[in-house]
Amino acid sequence: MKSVFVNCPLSILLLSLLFAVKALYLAFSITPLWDIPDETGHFAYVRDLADGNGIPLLGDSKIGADIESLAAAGRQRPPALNWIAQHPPAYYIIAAIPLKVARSFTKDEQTLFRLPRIIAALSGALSLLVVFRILGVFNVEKQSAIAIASAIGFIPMFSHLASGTNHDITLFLFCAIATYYFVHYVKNSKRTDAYLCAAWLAIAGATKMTAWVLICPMVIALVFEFNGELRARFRHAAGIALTAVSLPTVWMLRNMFYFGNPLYTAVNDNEMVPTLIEPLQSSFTFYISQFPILEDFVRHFYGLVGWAGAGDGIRMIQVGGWPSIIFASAIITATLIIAIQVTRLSISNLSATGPGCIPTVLANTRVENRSLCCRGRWVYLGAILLGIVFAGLVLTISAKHTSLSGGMHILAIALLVFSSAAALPLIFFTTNPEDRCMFYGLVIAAFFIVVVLYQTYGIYLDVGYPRGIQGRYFYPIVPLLISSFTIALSRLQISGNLVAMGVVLLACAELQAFLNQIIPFYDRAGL
Amino acid sequence: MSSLKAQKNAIFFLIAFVVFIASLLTKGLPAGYSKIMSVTKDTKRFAAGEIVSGFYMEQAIEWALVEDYEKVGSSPVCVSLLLANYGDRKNKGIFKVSLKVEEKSYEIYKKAEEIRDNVFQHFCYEDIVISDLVHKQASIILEGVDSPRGEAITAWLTSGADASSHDHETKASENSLIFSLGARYQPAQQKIRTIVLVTICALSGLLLLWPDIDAHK
Repeated sequence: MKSVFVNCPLSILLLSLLFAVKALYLAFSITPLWDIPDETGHFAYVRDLADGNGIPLLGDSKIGADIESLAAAGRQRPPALNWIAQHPPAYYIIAAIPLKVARSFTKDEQTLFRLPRIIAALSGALSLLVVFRILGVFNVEKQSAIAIASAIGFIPMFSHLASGTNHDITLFLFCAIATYYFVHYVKNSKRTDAYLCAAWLAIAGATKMTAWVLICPMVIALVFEFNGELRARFRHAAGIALTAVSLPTVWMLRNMFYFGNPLYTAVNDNEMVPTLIEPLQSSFTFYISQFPILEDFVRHFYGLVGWAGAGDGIRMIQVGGWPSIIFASAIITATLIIAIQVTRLSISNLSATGPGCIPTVLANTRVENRSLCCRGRWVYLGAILLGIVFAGLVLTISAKHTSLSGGMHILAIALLVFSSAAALPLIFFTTNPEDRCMFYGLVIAAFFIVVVLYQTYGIYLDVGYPRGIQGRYFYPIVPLLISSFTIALSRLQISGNLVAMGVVLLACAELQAFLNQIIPFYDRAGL
Repeated sequence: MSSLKAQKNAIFFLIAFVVFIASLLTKGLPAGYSKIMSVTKDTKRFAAGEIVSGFYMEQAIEWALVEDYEKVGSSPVCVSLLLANYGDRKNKGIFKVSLKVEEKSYEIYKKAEEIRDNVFQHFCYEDIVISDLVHKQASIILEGVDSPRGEAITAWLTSGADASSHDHETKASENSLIFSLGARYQPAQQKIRTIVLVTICALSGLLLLWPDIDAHK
């Protein structure tokens, strides 16, 4: 990513710098120690590496008594098992560097405990620039691109996580870089970009296992985009797939060696996460309808702040009030714009004749087939109807919302579900690479969301209550979704000034959330 | 976008932003809370039952548990109770939290619908400061007023804490409210925090509305 800073407008560089200042200020002056989700475990992992103890092993690795006692407001606590050792080490290796270096200059524990937070802050600031670079691939008005790229920096949860020791923001950065090369490849068909995308997917997979879910559909999309001679296609498909899974495979082999299960996590360890003797038998629809799962994923994406900083167990606050309404309005607008554009393209393809309806996979090999074209029309219609049915199901099954913003979240998800279903056949029949990027973003995101939902459902059956309803789990697909939204936005020719005003509202909402909700929560948390 | 239009936007934003900040901070900077004692031994916790009309629980304050309080001696007293609303159920009516200091009683009435689930709720008494309270015979009283059954909130209790409670028939109980006692205070760094975050937001807004700022070098 040598070109991240080159030819960037001054305004996005300054916005990125302002984000870094905000995140660092939060990290060192506002966010209490251990008030980032799982921060005790993340820091213990980082310290293990800085101490030269190697990659910690789940089940053996401990969070030191000093960290545990500090997180218990000074009351003496014994060391605890570190469940965070379930994660691959890429982020922790990077975060160990400032800690190791700083030890030569200071012995002050309070400073050293906070130092690895620098990495998340810088990752967040870089993410803004990378997202701007992604949008630069498309024909988007500069003001819109700047506003949309910086919008992620006005999500309280993103700023909160960027102010703490955790891998989620760095994961976002790595997935954004992978997305940058992905859209470059779809647009320009330069094979180097496909390999670079695969390499960054591998690095993301070495940061958090959540990214593994992204690897499969993204690699399939890359392979699908290949053109040229069949043997070369197979050769590069193998090369790209092997590159993308290389680092995750190393981690799986390690898990196999120690635990006999390549996908072993803390959830598999009854000592760390107690499970029911008999798993529940509830259906997936029961799970989705009985608990506000979907709306909470979105709500927690916007803001679920705090953790153990108060010293009396875990305490968190959901960001609510008008900031959450502004955010919910923003995502409804975004998903509506996507849905309108996907529907428009579906309808125009329905009535199209000629090369516009030739499947791209065939167009690449210069084969034209009229009968496939006609069948394609039924596929569009079927996909639109399927999208309407799925969206209707989301609306009816998840109707148990508890607030206005909750209902708005469900509506936005329903629109996204509709767009993803309707977009699937368009991938095969659209020759415009920018449009295909939009469709890939939607379909890959839908796949990712379904897998994560199903995983949390499995955990629910095992432990007996909804667990892991965290919006940050969706960070790997956010750059893709932003791309899809921006392409749709540019097609509808919505003014950049209007987009910027919307993002200004998000900035003001975040300010209100910090001043009137989050900081008072920190100040009052010493109970 | 033309430079003139961008400048107009920026000026409009600055004016609107000043109004926004003024409205945000009309009630002053949000206050912090500094505890001086707590009973939060909540390893075994259970609900007190619905706080309906007739519910009464008096929680004695044991001063042996008090921590350093001199620095907040002149600040208003706050009581923080761990309350629950039965899984975000819509509740109705009001309840009362009183602070009884010797013979004097300070009362706060609260709507049940305002209580969030499993969250510590603060009740601050403007008419009494910490130094007027400490080491005096005092208790916290939680009373139901008019919430109907099935639409009332509850409080979490714990057992085995170094504090005890009794009901209106003075039946002593081993159970204790999960609570803390503290003071409302203004953190010293609150002004600086506000200035820094407001400045970052204002600059971000200007850059968003005036993205061609570098075109005027």
